[in-house]
Amino acid sequence: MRRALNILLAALIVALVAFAPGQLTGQVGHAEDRVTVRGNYYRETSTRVLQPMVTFRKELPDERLTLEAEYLLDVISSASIGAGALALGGDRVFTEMRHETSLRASTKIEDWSATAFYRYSTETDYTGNNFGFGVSREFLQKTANVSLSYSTSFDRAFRITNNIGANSPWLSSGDTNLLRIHYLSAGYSHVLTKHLVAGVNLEGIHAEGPQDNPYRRARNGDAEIHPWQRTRGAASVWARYAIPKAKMALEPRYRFYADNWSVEAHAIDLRAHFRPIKHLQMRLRYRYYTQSEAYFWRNDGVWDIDYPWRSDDPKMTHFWSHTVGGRLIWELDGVSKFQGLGWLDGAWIEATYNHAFVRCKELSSVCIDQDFGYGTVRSTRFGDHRIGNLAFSLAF
Amino acid sequence: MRATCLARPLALVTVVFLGVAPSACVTVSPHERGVLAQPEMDPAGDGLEETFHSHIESAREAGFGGHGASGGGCGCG
Repeated sequence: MRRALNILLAALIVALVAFAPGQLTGQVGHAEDRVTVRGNYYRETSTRVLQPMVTFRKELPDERLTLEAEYLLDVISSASIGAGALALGGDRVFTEMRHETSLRASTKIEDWSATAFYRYSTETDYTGNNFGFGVSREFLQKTANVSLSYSTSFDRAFRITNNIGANSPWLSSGDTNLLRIHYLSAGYSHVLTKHLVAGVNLEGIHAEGPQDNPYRRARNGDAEIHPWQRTRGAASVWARYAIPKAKMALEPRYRFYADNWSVEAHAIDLRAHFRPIKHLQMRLRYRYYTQSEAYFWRNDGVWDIDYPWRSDDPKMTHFWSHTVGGRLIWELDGVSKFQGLGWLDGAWIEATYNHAFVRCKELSSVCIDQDFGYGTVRSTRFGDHRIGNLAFSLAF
Repeated sequence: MRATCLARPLALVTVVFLGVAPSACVTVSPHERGVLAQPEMDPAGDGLEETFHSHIESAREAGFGGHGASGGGCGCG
């Protein structure tokens, strides 16, 4: 009798563990655990980045607790021209690697969601610790969403001082190599009609510490020194509008950015999503970006001798860019119906390509006439660039 | 710090919010959200791709990417 009671008690505990989570909320979706491998590629005149990454996501046992782990490797080569790494021996090809690991925990209970993450990044001359949290809540029968997130970084910058990898802390104009960054974001989105969802986002960021490239020299030969503090703000609006008869959705975005280095930027991003057949998603994209120059930028590379700042950073000058791109996602649910391929249910393959045409007007050390294979154009020293991704995601 | 740094973004959001607010109480019933449930209508669907683009933009543009504080330099800034 006692043995039977023990078995009954054990069965009851097992049943509670197995089924209670679903009963508590009454609206828990089935768990979707997923592993995604992705290869990112970036190429410009002087820099090539290969970035393999893997993301593992596990729901325990459902969306009320989701854990995510990610590892990525940045393999950066030929960075010497763009980074102005004359101190390392001039214009020569070199390769460096950056390792990044991230851990993320998130939860969704009823109308509330919360997430927290930690990310660690390390490379030869830079380490980064970044952590943060966010919370969001749905209102009006889940048609409105308000979100708030905060994250902070503690990064350390170093300067490699010889060709066998010795380094020293990079202090810039301060007395520490610590770069502290605080980031705050607030968002609101709303389902406006049965075909239209739209939202607004507001971001603020404050950074204090070395924010210049320790290897780059200004045109007059002085070390690049940027201001120690930077406060940045951005506001963006977006919408997604579905046109079911055309099997497409339109996605316009606009983002305005301003900071206390006098840089103002506008980015307009237009995307069109198509679904020509059931399991194939296509996306076309056009992005226009323009920014003004920082207040300490000088096209002629001449500063007053007692002026504290120097820069040879192409992203501190006025320029604009046009980016065109496309993306294909093949959902493998259809394939999974074949015998032996059931494991592909929920899997997808993604391929993305973007090409950015970067242009500038005033000749300077960073705005020069170049030929990228389609005639001479005036572009920044970074130049036109290509971005590609290949990804495979598997649900299990 | 220039006053425009945060004032302009705030002004833009305010204008948009006032534009959206009149329709903000319109509730679309759950049974009318079939189209909105499509992956292409999910703003979070592009997350991993956006993270990489954001990293590139942070290294190549002065306007930062928008996915949190940077997780380290890429050695090419």
